Amino acid sequence: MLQRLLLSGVLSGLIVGVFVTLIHLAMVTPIILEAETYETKSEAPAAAHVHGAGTAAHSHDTEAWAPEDGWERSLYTLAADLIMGVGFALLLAAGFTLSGQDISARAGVLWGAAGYLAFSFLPALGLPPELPGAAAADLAARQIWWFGAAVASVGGLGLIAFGKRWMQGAGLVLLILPHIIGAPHAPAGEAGSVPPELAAHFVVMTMFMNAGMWIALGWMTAYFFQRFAGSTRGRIVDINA
Amino acid sequence: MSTNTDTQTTVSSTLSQRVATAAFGSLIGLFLIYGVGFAQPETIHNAAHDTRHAASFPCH
Repeated sequence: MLQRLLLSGVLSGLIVGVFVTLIHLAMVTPIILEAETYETKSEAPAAAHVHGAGTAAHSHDTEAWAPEDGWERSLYTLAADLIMGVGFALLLAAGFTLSGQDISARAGVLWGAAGYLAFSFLPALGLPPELPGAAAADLAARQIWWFGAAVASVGGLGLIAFGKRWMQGAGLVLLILPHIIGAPHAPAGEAGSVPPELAAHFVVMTMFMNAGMWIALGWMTAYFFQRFAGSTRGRIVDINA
Repeated sequence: MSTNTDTQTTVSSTLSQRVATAAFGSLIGLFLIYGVGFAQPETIHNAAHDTRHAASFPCH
């Protein structure tokens, strides 16, 4: 059973990760690079990077290693996208395993859509995708809120999809709760160095990329999950025969 | 005889097996996501930088 989960997660994550990287490099990275030109322009007064209090440990040393722009940077993006794809695909495969159901490729697309809502769209309602140089609150606070919103969304969607009637109400509450608590934002009046037109375009491009990634992940992971079903199901059939 | 016991263990341990397997699988998945999206060291941050921004993980 574990083998089935790991195999379908890893295979689907790697395949989808390659395609995601193509969209990433074609549609998203150019906007990030353009945003960085504004960031370096305004870096001289050291005010470009707005951090909340308590981020003293977070340094932007120019001496820290970073991949060279161009091929090297793109290869690291590929690696990171592959790892992210496998990570999310493993979560999907874990969900399939937990449900104990046979997941058709079509049902997999629904799971992928739920993954998109929980790990991308709903957290983005509080913390929209940021370009480098955007004004933002303390990093740790945002990471905690983001993670909490994702976990609450997974729980909420799970209760709505699989719970009894009263649990569905609780699921809805769970979906809304992180947004009532509210995401941490930069203090009012602080603005980043990036033009709003560019930031708006970036948000749409990333949401497109993430939606595509999740739909493909749901579909592919379900496909492999079904393909590798034989290893466990076949044995039970044999025993009964 | 042995066939019978086999069937029984398969059926009775199914739910707990599923939970354990799913828990293990999601731990690995979360570990990978943490590394790509959340880990603090500057080198990891720089290597995964564009992916963090694209996936709308809080980055800077």
